[in-house]
Amino acid sequence: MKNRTLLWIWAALAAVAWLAPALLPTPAAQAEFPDKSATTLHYSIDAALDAKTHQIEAKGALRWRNDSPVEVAEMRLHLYLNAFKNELSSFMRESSGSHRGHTFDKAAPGWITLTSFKRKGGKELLPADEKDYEFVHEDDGNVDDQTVIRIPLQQAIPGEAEAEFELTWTCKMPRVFARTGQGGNGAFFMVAQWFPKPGVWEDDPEKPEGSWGWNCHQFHGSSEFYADYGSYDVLLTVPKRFEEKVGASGQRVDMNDSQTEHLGRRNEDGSITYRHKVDHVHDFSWVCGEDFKVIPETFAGGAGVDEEEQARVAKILGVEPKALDLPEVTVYFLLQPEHEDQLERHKRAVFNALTYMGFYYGPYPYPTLTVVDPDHRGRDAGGMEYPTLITGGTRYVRAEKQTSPEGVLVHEFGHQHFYGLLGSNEFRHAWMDEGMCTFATGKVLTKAYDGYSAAQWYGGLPHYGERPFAFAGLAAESRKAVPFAGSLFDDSWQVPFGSLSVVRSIAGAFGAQHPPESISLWASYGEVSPLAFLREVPTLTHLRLPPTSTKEYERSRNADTPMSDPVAGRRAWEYMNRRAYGNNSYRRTASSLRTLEGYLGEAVMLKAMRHYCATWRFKHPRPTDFYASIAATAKAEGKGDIAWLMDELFESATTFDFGVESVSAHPVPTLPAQPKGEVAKADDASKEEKPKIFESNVIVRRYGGVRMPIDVRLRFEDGSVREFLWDRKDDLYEFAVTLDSETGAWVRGALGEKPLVTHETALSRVTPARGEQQRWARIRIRSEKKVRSAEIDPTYAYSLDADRTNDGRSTEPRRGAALQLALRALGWVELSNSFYGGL
Amino acid sequence: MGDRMDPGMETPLNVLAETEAPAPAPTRRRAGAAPAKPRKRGRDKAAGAPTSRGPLGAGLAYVGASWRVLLFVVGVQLLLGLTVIVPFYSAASERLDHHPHASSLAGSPTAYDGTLSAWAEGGLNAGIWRDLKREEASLFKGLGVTFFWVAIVAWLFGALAAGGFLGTAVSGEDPVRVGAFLTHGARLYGPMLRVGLCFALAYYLVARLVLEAWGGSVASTEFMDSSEAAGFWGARLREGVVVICFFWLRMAADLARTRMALLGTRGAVGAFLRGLGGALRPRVWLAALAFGLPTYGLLLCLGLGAQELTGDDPWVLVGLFLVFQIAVFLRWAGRAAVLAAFAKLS
Repeated sequence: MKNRTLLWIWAALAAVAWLAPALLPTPAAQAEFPDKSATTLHYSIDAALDAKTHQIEAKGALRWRNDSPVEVAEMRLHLYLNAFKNELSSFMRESSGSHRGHTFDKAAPGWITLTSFKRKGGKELLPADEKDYEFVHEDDGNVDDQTVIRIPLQQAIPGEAEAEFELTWTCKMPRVFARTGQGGNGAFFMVAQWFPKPGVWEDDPEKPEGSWGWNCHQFHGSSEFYADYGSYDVLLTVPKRFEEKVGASGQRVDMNDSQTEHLGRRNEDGSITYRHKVDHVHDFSWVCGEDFKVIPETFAGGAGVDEEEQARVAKILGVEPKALDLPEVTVYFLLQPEHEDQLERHKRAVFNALTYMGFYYGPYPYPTLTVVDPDHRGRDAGGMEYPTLITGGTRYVRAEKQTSPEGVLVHEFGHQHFYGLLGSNEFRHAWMDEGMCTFATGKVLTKAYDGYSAAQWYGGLPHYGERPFAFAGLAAESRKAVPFAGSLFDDSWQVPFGSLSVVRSIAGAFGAQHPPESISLWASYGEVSPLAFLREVPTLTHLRLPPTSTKEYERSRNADTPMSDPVAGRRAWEYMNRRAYGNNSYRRTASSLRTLEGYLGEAVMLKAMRHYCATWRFKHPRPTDFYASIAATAKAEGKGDIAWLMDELFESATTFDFGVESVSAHPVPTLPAQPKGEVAKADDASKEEKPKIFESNVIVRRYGGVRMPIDVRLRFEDGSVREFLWDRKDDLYEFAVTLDSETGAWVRGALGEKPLVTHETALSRVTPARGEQQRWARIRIRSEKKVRSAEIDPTYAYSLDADRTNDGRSTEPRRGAALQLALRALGWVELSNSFYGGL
Repeated sequence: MGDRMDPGMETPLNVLAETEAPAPAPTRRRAGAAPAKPRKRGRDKAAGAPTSRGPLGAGLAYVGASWRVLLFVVGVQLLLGLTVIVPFYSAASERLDHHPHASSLAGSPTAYDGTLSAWAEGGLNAGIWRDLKREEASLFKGLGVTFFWVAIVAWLFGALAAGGFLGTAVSGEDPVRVGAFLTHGARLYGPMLRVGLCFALAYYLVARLVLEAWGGSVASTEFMDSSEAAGFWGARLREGVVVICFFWLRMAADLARTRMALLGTRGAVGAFLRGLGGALRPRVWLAALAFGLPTYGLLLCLGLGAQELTGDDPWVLVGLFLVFQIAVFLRWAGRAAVLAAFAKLS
């Protein structure tokens, strides 16, 4: 009887374990929106652009719902264009007026002035004098920052109630800087962060429960945005020259004017008005440019561009492939005429992103997507995401073997998921959108492209390969090599005795009407003189590296940045510096997620991410929500409790670097077998000699602070391998390994249940664990064969590793790789020297 | 040209040399050593001989006669190169040679490498390469500085080589021996170096004028053009002009050197200014192109071959080393030929 009860319990547990994955929420397979009535904001805007003054006059009607049980006595609105009003804003102070290599033009600032704000049919809520406006600067106490305004309400908004406001404002677009503004003196407008946008009224997770308040941060140099989901209905009036040259969030609505095919309305003054509507988004932006080529393309949906992948993912998720069918999307490409030949590259990138991210994170639900290629006069508008509208960025000449512009397009599209559909707080948890999006971008690029080939650009054209080490030529290098002459060089020029003021004078003398603020000596970023091509003969001397995978590229870029902060737990402007913000928010998060994937396995990670995305779609997830979501799937899939892992990967500022310190083997002296009382003869001893026994010692090290279970593979001189798991507690477990005779590959079997015992005959872990202080383990093996090499993480599962050159060690050096490298470098130096010798 | 001049060589070049050029410094001999025997060199064999050969023939003949010198020059370049590369190799070797997948990194993956996807393809993994550079960052930074100063030495050596080539070409050495090459190089070192400085200064001014003054004056216009293409092609145009000016100035410098070697004059600036005009003569730039283009073409062809040389087979590595030394030989052979052709043209 007792046995039968145990049997039932066992059967029930087995059934639960088997069904557990199926019990998790089914991944969203269709493009479903939540109930519109649940939306917090409803914003109607009527805006008119004056392209000459670069100003926009707008009026709006805002319906806002208080989703809390407490009343709201004041409104807080983002006025982000004021970040570009002068150099005193927090954005400018933190960024030093520089963004992605572009500088703020003081002569062409931008601003937004709220001219009226009142309850519908009510009195003006703004002070009569603009000087009395109450700007909030709780983040840094910068009294000069005007990017958040507080407007006390005469009548508080009760809990769960709606309020309607009427407002008017004027904004002036700066010369394009930090993703917004105008370029070409009014030829191109990227209109973003252009309207007063309410902050998020929420229960602050960093305060005791029930602490409702405004989450409405100032605009910072290292942060993006956070807002409530809402619906937008926007009328955009633009000058005639922008007819059919406008793109905006959402879908264009017919203005019932039969004269135009583009659904716009021609006004009496010649201007054109377009109407765009979109629901379930948390921002609205638009763009117009007189040179745009507007090219609509249809993403047919279904299996997208890859039926095979659809079937594979469906199998992992345990659904029919049909359940992963993607909805149709009309994609509007707004390209510059000189980039029109790159349409196919743009299209392929966006369609790949729609497909694979649709499979991995759920379908893109909106019927339209606008892809903007910014005017070269407003290049800093590129590489940005807004709901249903993204900006890419390309150049006149692009290398075929480099994923540019593809990388930026896929990345910005990825934000439609990690920012758009999952509305995390970009101020407080930048990694949750940027990092996850970088991870997702890598998945798409890996799937759809061969990798990234390094190239050197000579005279505007790419040459694939890499110089053995940095040397840009005598003139450029002289500033490093001649210390006392450093002050004679201009950093931005890389030319001795270069001085921008001198150049401006010369340019002025030659009749330049607008001597440039900056000139690139060679045409653009990363290019070098064509004479360098003659000097170094790159086809002969440059290193030809195989294309780099996105995973590897990001791993090494992450490793290049010194460890300073944890990924999570920092506001965007609180990292040590902007580099630390950038690395933690983008690359380290992506590498952490890949490491998580390496630990969980690709299938479990896919399910976990799908689960997270489905659970938090159209909501505001926080780090704890992400951890819980992943942990739930991991547990259901038999991976146990992974809270420690999330802590290591996201909450700790520790370096991940495992390696092999040393490998050695020596024969073990053995005494010949000798019967008692007999004196052994030398000849007898040699006849009965035992097989030689070798003792191999392998020391594996934890160079960094992250403690994770890691695989160690030993390869013996006869080609056989043994694999071990060095776990977090410094115990060693052995995997069963068999040779697949067909493929010749070593196949790993089950992991031993018990840790290997110290001083065991075959293998011993001779160092007792010392808890957190333990940094290494010794594997000692006595065997008839010597260990030839040892390597950690042989399948390269963990892409957080800071240094892969120490991942393995062999007892027998092979000189080929270093010699080849050195020989090419030698040729490079010799040929360059020969060139200089000929001058 | 002193005791080495063939009495039969009555070319305008040699007439000039005999009448105007100062006598070369006497070659030093060891005390008690027998006077050097006049070398056997027939009229037909003299590299700079006034035969029916044109400048191209003279250039080729000179290269044929000076192979020892060219090997010497290659040796010097190798020595200079090793100064930079030995520390580089030492660091790379420490990190790569003991790697369990060193064969794959060298481009010839073993069957074992093939069982792990990360190593199956072979070739220097870009991530490993970046790790190497990061972990040895201070060394790599230092290499750039070392390279700079070694390049300066190479430039200084270039003046010696130019003097050696021109001196031996003018005197009609055949075969051209290293001793004579160095003797002439030392004798003409000052003028050659001064011309090199003239060239450097002139190129620097031209480059700044074109790229900065011209580029600066049109930068705003190009930037404000609706198409990015305007800036792109504008930059290409200026780069093209700089490249053409570079070759023009370089030919002018070589003509100046030739003139100074022939006439024994010491005024580098004047010679360089004369050279500016001379370099516009079609025969001059055609001669330069006739050697320059094939030389560079051969280097590119060698490049195609070198890219195929991968793996850790010792013969592959020897082959790679030889390819680069051949490339250096070709580059200097081209230079020697141009100088000999210019000597003939002058």
